[in-house]
Amino acid sequence: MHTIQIDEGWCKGCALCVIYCPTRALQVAARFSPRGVHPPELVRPERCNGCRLCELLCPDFAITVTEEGRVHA
Amino acid sequence: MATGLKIKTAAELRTNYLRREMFPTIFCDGCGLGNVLNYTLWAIDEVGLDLDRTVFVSGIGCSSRLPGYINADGLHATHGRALAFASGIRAANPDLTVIVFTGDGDGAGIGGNHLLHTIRRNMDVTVILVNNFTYGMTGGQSAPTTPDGGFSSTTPYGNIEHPLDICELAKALGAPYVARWPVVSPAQPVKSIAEGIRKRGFALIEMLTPCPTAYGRRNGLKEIEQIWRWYREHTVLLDEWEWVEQFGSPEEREALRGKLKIGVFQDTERETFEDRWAALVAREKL
Repeated sequence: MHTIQIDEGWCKGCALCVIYCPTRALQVAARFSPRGVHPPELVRPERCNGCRLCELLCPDFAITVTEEGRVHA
Repeated sequence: MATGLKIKTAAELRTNYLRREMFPTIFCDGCGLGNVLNYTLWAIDEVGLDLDRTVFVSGIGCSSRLPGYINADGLHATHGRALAFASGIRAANPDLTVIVFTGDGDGAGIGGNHLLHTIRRNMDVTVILVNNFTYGMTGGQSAPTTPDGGFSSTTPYGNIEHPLDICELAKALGAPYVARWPVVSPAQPVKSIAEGIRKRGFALIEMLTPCPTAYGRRNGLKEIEQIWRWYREHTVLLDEWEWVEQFGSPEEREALRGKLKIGVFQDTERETFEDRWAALVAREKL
């Protein structure tokens, strides 16, 4: 099981992570971030296989994929 | 030779390499420059570069903002002259690793002459040339790389000039490492940048980067998803390109028109400026 951490101060809401997610586990959230954009959210965590493509393709270093029970600094 | 990518997280890259107070970046939504920075940091991590012994040099333009985000010494030089400054740094202190960020307008248009002569001298610098087909920061004027028929603020009826192929130019001048990749797939650029940093001599990595704001908006590629898909659909791997040119049907060859070759164009060895300079100093007992 994987989770994603979004730094909402850095995310610009370009939704590249959502567009390129191979398993369509991500979705653009309806709520607004403090910056006034729609951040991505992991709506189907059971589908996420931890490929980290969203993390690699994020132009703003805003996503970090973490495994359950193991949190990166 | 790189065997595989080590698993790192964006959080680790952020704490190790970035000036956090500079973030978020100034780049528009859908711009690939953040990705170029991301891939460069991955490559640096893979090579294990010491950032205290690395200098990032840039000229003017969107791409040239990149050294400002990296927690290392950087130089924001005058328009087009990034390579001239980089050559100077390298000649004065060959112990430093020099990485140049430049754009197509900065590196190949205004600084085209410096590009030629830095390759000719074979200075040991790694150049990451970000090609977005336009002068993005100054309002979308046409660049030397604007494709045939491409619309820009200075070519409102379509571009009639033949675009410049930077990689073929570098190849012809004998640069030891030449590669071109679009930013839409992460693994290949990371490996190429790492190889370019390890390479002794001039390494040019051309990154094809979407610019939805200045270029896409005038060419029917305004949406982020649309312009990123364009880069997937209009790039062909070098091997595949050569195969089609040799054995392909006329239709297949026709389909190559307007597309761009991607891949590693050249990977050779060549005597660098420093080697020759050291030989000269030894010979003439300077």
